[in-house]
Amino acid sequence: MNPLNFICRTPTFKKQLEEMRPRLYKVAYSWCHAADIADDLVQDAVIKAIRNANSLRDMKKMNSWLFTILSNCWRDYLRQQKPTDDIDECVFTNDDTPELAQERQNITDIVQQAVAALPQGQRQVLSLVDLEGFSYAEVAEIVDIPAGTVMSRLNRARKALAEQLLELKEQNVLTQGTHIRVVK
Amino acid sequence: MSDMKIQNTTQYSDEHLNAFIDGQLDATGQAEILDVIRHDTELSQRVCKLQKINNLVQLSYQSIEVPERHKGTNNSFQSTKIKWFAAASLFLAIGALAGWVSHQAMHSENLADFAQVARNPNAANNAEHWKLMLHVSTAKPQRLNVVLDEAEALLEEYAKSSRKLELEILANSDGLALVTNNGKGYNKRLQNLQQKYGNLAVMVCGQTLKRVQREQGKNINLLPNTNVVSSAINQMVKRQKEGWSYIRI
Repeated sequence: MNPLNFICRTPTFKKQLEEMRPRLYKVAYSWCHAADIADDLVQDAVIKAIRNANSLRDMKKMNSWLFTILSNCWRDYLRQQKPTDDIDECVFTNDDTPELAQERQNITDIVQQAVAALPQGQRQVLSLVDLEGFSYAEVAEIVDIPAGTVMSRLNRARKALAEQLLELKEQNVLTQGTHIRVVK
Repeated sequence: MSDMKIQNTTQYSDEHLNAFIDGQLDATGQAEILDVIRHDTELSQRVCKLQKINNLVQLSYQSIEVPERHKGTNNSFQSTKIKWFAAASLFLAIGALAGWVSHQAMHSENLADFAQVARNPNAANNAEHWKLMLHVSTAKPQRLNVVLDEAEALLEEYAKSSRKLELEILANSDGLALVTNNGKGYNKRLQNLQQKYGNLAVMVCGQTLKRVQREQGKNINLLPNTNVVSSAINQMVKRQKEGWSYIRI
């Protein structure tokens, strides 16, 4: 580690940490789809980052380091919620109903709903790649799984989303505006 | 030809194509797929499908923002900072004796390294009238210049021929930098292109604009002739339905 960097990085660290907060929140939200939980996860991650700042050897790796902490916080949270389940294969309960689904016309809601319905492991990989643009190798490091698993989870996630979202698009649901339907 | 087509289409697994759209292949791998896509509609459709999903996910979480909360970390940060200063003083003594210089080599990137193509299979690429959207969501000057290089080359080429081109540059997220009046070189280039070519339209995502204005607490000064669309995703969906080709850079 560069000692000069260590001395000079405190303000940089704080600044970068603050700047990273929205990005951490966005990814945390994509994992849990609940504003309060996402906020708590980010807050936990930020506190842990500050407490363990000394373990960050290279400031250039701060992004992936922070997301690793966030991923660990998320894992801890899931363990508290479902201690006996394999969290990577855990599908969150989808309490959507056809009536509610019909009311949802906003493309964002539809996509977020589809992402939320993915198994946790797939959702986590998908958001790190799509929202944060991490390389597969970085995601493997953050989530602590082999790179091959990153690729297969990402593939399964995108395939599931394609089946759901592109089918909707063909049905013209993913378009703007109000649709009038005849209900029989 | 058809044998080659079958081979091309089945040669690449979905994982491989995902790696392509995520820029995980090396330059040769990226260039190889780009080349095959140009001639293989089926492969192009597969890539297009994956790219659409990638775009939908990106854009659907774009407006997620951190809620206001109490600054609960300040105190712990201050105490950590004091410890850091103590550690820093120690390191200063050691560090003063040992110079350490590093520099990072700048790696040049070419288009094949990061251009991500999702060509609309319905688009008549070689037809007399080509409609193309270039989508940019990054503020990296190098990429912004690639967008402009590509746009300029196409506009020039079509201006010389009898074929018609409609070109639209869509900026969202960090790509807002391209259309923000900030006096940068790419700003001037874009303005020159717009003045020179009437078939170039520049669009910016209204959602991004609102978010950035809210964050910065001031209005963003856009380049003249920049059109604000309600959202990037709506514009993309609209254009793709209208048969436009789409290239994300």
